[in-house]
Amino acid sequence: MSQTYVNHNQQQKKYLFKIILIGSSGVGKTSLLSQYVHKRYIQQHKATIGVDFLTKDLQLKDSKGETCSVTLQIWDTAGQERFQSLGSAFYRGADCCVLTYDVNDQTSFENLDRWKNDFIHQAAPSSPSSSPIPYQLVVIGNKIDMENQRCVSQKRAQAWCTENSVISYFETSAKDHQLVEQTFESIARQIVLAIEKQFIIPYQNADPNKVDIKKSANNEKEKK
Amino acid sequence: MEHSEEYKLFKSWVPAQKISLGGLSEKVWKYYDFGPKDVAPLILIPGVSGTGEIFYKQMVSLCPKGFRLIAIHYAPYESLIGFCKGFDRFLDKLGLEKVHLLGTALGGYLAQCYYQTRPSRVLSLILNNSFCDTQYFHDNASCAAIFSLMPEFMLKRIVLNNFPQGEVEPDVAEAIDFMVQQLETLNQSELSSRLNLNCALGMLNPSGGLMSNITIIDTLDSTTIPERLREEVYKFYPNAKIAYLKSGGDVAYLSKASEMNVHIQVHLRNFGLDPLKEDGKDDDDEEGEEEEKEDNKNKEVNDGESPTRSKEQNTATTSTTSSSTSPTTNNINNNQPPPPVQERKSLFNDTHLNDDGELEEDEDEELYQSIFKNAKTLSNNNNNNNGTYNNKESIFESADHHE
Repeated sequence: MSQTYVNHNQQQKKYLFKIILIGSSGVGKTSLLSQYVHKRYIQQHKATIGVDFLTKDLQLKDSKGETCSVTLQIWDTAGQERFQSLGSAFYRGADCCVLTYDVNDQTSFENLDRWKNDFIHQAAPSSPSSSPIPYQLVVIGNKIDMENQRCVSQKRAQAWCTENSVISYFETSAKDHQLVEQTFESIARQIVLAIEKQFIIPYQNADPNKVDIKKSANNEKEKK
Repeated sequence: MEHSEEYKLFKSWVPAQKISLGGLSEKVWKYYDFGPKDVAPLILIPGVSGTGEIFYKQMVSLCPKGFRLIAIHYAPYESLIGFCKGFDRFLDKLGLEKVHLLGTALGGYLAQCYYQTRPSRVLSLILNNSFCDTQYFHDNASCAAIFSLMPEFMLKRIVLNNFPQGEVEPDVAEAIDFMVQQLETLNQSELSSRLNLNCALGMLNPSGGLMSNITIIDTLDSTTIPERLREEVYKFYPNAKIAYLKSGGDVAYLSKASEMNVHIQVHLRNFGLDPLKEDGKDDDDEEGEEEEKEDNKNKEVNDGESPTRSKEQNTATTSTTSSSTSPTTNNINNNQPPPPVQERKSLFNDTHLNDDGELEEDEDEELYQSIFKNAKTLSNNNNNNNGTYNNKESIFESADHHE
């Protein structure tokens, strides 16, 4: 066993972001993810059961121009409620919640309110002391390839975003691979930016009330 | 942590069992087995300093969801081959044909070794902060050859030296405290055997890494396993699914149990273990929903009456729902060893109080939530005492005394 352990001090900053895709059933969450990670489009719709995740590594430049490596852990969730079995446990610790809707489907847009409240309710940070919100909210309107069937205008979606203090709104098509990559990259960049501005706290110094093992042990000793 | 509601539940639900494999030097395996008996179990293998008890959070939260978990405390073996043979016989004795394995640190290494000797028996692997090459530990161990001759307190000291130093999050500190307590229960032969296994030069075959039924759960702030070793694991298993946890130290199964459990569930579901109703035909599903609604009605009606009765009825109805929709998990609840009646009653009361008498659809989740709440308040109380991590010192003190 090691008596000394080498601490690899890396020059490159490393981030891990947990991103959660939520939205009504059939808006294309699984397709988006599969298109982004595997560059494959799934023709057939099959309801996602429970949750699953995929990871994707990225290289990004931060505001100072330094490259940092980012690992995205993107969670695909079931849109149908009866398959949502894991409860709130997996909402916790999310850096970004992507609210997804189908631009050709009015109800999926109207459901955004419910999804957003659901997420905020379940992801609520356990300690109320951490004042900055630890996650970002993003909206994606999917299926823009069917322009003639569109029933939610970009304007309307933007208005909803401003109303609900959602910073970014994206439109994609998982089918045609339109803007999928760019969207996720922008999301990653946005989180890096938020960390730099200390809107949210990265994992390296995640907890301000860390316990110093040695100190507390010494304190114990002194008490004795 | 040992006073938490969750731990008490674990103790009251799951009996500690022993099994002897006979032989010249008698090998006694201790284990905790819980959950429905008709599904392939997930075997939890601890690292150097762990016992079966360190996985109590997994057992308490996953077993009621229909998974069978067996947390083992393996007998001392001097060689990896010895362990693999022993483990094989252990599975024989329990009558387990095929199993899923979860190993943490050394446990993960042992799981990989066993997989390579008996691939047909292992359905899938979960490695938590593990490694696939012991060269590093072999090179760094100054006294590997004489572990078996060293007294107990010295061995404990070697293990303790590898526990994280400096600042850690409160929940990790608490978990380490628990680990130190568990370490105290190990005896000399167990410790020296585990250290030997950890430092013995490897037997993993490099061509065995192509399997894809692996999930690697790693915490990014792990300290005992250097990053180089972890990256070797990723290279060794290019098809594995890598699940990172942002924090949790080397004890994520205790400190970040809820996130870890999500990953375990996702893994088991991907590899054929799904106690939930799965891809049944649409008609079936609708039926299931209706039944659920009826269940709810029953709940509401029974709420005003005796709590134990309605609880019992609920479990009965859920068992019928699950058996009607998914044929693989017939009669989950019937085969499960029923928790003592008293425990059940108090559990029910808790949920009853917490939710103002309103019962939601998902019982297990609710049950878990109430357990979790209690555990949380208790742990908060513990934190206030500032009494974290004094056990390590006390062992050190006793060690000094011996010297």
